[in-house]
Amino acid sequence: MKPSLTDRLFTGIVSRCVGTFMLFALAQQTAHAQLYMLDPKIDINTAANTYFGSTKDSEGRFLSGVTVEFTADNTSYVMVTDEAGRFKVHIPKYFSPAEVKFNCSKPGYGLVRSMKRPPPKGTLSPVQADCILAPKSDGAK
Amino acid sequence: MARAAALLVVAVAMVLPTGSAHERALRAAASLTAEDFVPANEAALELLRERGDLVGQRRHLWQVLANITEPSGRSGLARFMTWFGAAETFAERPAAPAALRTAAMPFAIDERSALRGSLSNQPPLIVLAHYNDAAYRHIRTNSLHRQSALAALQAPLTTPAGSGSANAIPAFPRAAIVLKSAWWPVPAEGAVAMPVWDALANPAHRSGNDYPTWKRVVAVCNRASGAVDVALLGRTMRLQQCIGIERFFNLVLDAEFAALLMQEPTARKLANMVIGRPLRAGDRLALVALHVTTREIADWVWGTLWWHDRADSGPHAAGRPVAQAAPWRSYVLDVAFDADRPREPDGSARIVFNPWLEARFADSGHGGGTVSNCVSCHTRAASPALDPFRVTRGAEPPTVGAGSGSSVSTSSLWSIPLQAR
Repeated sequence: MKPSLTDRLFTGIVSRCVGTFMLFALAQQTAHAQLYMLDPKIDINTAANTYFGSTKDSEGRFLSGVTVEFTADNTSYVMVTDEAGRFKVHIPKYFSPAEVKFNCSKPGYGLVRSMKRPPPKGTLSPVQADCILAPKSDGAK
Repeated sequence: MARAAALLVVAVAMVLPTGSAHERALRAAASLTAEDFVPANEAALELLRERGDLVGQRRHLWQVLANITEPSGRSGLARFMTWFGAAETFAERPAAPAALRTAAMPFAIDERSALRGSLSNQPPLIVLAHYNDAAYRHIRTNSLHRQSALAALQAPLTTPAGSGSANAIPAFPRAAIVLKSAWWPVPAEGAVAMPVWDALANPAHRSGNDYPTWKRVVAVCNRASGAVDVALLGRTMRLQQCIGIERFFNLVLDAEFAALLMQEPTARKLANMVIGRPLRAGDRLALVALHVTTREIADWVWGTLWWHDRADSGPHAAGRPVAQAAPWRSYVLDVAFDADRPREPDGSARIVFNPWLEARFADSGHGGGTVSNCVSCHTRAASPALDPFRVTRGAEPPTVGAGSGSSVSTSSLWSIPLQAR
């Protein structure tokens, strides 16, 4: 069978053996990467809080492909929920959880409710953030 | 034939050192159609830099843009879309030959991209690098796609830092061009919101000015239309018109191209964020930003373009060729030949940045991305890559710049130390 374009492009690339350490180091370096061009905007050693959570529809089903945006001091941290409707993101600790704003969105859907649960008093991490969305026709905002 | 003519023009330029004849020769050289790119006369370009001649610099970059965007070969693709992507340039195996190239090839990803994508928390953008044949061949011939080759060029660790020893990769040929492009998804049906950079509406912020913070958006559709509702990051807006895709340089995705793109986590994230689903056949990618750098002078010639809905006015539209065709009339341009000159009105070093690619850089002590300069940043490019996205102003002293100490200058290209395997 004639190989497809994609096959031709990737033949010999995906099969390359790259050491586990190198992969880990690269992944760490590119926590802020954009497509194909490494972009370590923020020092990888910056201490960070973990923010995690899920997005559901109004019937309680996990919703994938939802954009979850945290904003603080004119900076946006953007994640999209996975197939299970969950996300996890690291945000620098110099932003206190109280000042980090949280929003969920998905084209065609409106936000019904969002909840950010701050960590126990005196601690910083982790922060749970969940939201519920509904199709626009369901009367969501 | 074209190359011979180019050489003749360059030779003429060299004996016409001043005035309009000099500039005419420079323009003619850059406008010739060759297989790839014919550099303009170096002395003429250095004169533009020395004089801080922005009019001449801009004229040259508009001409370069015309050259690299004209239809090429049997495919009719814009010339730069036939060049090599980063994954191809830094792959172990050579890329597909020129005759087989398609618009999808520069978008090829490598296994490292898939690994890192899930860790990114930055607002997503589809960003590509494009290397023309001269740049690609130079990297491959000198094994600059391998970290081992870069390490072999490093001076012994005993060399004192600041000694001024200049370790460097072999100089690129003057015909080398490297581009960086940024793309925004547009669905086959319906409208999407796209942020637009208005400098006065977005004052510099210490944590950067990434596109989610921009004050204005436009609606973009496959076909121009009247009022539409669009949403971006949870903010819903009613806009009075939807701008047609024909005002952008754009690519139509077929099923294979869309599938290739959706293997990459950042592209998938952007598609979900903007249109609420993965990309598929019939969707388009609209070019929103383009960095152009040519090795015509030692520190490279730098130009940067970005799309704007009012691209026909203002300082970044200056010098636009009368004959320039759509969609390039919808892009504005800024240029940098030097890290310092010409100085800004307040006497500070020259500022040249692309809102899509640099505005987001935070202020690390010398200002953020909105006061950055391509030359100032890229002359620091070295292996190992140290702090590549720190914004600095003006030229770095040679004793602390790229190639000093045990580092190896990578000829103003950060992609070499960052992408080499």
